[in-house]
Amino acid sequence: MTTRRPSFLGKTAIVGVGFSPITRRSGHGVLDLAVEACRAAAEDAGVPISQIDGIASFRFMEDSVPTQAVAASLGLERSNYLLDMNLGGQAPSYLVAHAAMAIESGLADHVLVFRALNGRSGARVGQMQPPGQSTGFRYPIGLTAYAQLIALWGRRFMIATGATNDDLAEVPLAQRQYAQLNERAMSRKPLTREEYYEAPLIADPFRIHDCTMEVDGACAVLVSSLEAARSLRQPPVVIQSAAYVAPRGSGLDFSDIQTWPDLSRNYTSALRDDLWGRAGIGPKEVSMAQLYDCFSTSVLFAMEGLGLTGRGESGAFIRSGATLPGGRLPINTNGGLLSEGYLHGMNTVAEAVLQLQGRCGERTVPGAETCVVTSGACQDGSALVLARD
Amino acid sequence: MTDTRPTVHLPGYVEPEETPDTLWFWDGVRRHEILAALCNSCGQRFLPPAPGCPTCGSADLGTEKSSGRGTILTWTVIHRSLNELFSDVPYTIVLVELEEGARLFGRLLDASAHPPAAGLPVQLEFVTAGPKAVPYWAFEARRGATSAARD
Repeated sequence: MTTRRPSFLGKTAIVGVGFSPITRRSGHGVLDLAVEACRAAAEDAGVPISQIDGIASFRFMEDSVPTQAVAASLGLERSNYLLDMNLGGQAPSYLVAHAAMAIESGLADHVLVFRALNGRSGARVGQMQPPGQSTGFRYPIGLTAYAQLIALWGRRFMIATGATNDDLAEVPLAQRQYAQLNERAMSRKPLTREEYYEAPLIADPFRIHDCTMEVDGACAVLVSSLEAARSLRQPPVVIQSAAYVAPRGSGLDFSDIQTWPDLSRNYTSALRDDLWGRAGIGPKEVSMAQLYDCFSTSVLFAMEGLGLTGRGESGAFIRSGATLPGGRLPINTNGGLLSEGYLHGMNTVAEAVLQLQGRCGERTVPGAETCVVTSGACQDGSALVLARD
Repeated sequence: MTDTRPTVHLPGYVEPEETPDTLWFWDGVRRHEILAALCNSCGQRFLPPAPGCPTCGSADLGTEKSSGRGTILTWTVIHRSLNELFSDVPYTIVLVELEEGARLFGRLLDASAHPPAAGLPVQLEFVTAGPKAVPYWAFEARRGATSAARD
């Protein structure tokens, strides 16, 4: 097992962010959304499209377009690095690390990382049947939706840690306060505890506000060498640490949890030591966190898994106000996927970048130097520690 | 004692993918037997079938019949089905650790009388499912068990 610090860390940076509008019905093809976000990220960084020579993206069951199609549409002269990863929300942090590796090793100079989908008006991930021999053990009886699988994790977490329904509720209640300050967010209305509990149950313990909103849209970031980044338009956001892990027992197919040893802990527990060890800072020193939140419990798993709080303490931590604007550890400052919309965590990375560049308007976390980002909710996943230069 | 209760029927059903390498499991279900993969190297039982042991990686695998007894690890009550085949909401799905070690998902029968709880002892029962009434399995609370049992 390697204990070396990957060589791209500290030498690569995220230099720009781009979005298409986030909507319920884009009225465009996924290729158009992807290209819009990619153009916007390059423009944001001040890197001419002609200098882009790499693109990386991810998709789940063919819900997006090949990077080659985006390269063609951008008119790239020569792509030296194209990567299409067949993963879901585990991918964004991992792909940023891949782009950084490609750059540091000399394969490419400027790599776009994007996620684009018509996740609302097109194929909806929550209802797709992934292929493979493990889904045959749950589909026959109506265990078909992603929310239902994550509910099984969430319930086990509640059993093992003593977390309550109120603890779950804290996640959307806190994040909605930030969403009110985020013009991209799909859900911006204030949310009360009463409204949370009045909303119907979807898959116990999840009610509507525990679940992200499927949307149409695209988000892209541009990765470059730190050296190049220093002469670009925006302040560089340094890739200080990165980790991906799929531990033993990860399962055969998408969300096969029959062989996962402990359903009250996910990948965040398994990559924690690598992530902080490579970062040179610990969980008590990080300024803020952007944690993948397809469902409310994913935030609690990550807070405890990464050691941002102790085991069983995440709900009380949010309740204390520590994650809110002005708190000691702001979390999911765009309102999270729960409020902003489900761009599968690419927007989670983007929020970290915009925050560290001080470009989030009223919700900017003053004085933030570092941010931990997670991607994924289940057995395997990835994470970054990003820092101001 | 002979069980004379009528067989429970689950209206919704999605046919599982069977491959030449997983046929032994589904053939077992058709015979009203639950077989788990057994690792001859480390002794671990596991499902779904895989070409190597998820615990030790050994390819030296056999199969073993399960007693069908187990305990509930976790559960969800599905109130809104996103699939039109499963409109019989609310229904309860449990993840059960069989006493031999492998895990299975299943519907929990009679959940209103015996609500799910962590560690609740359950017994696998064979049911029929879908328009063709194919053999499948479900779980019910073991007689005499209480939902106060915790793990």
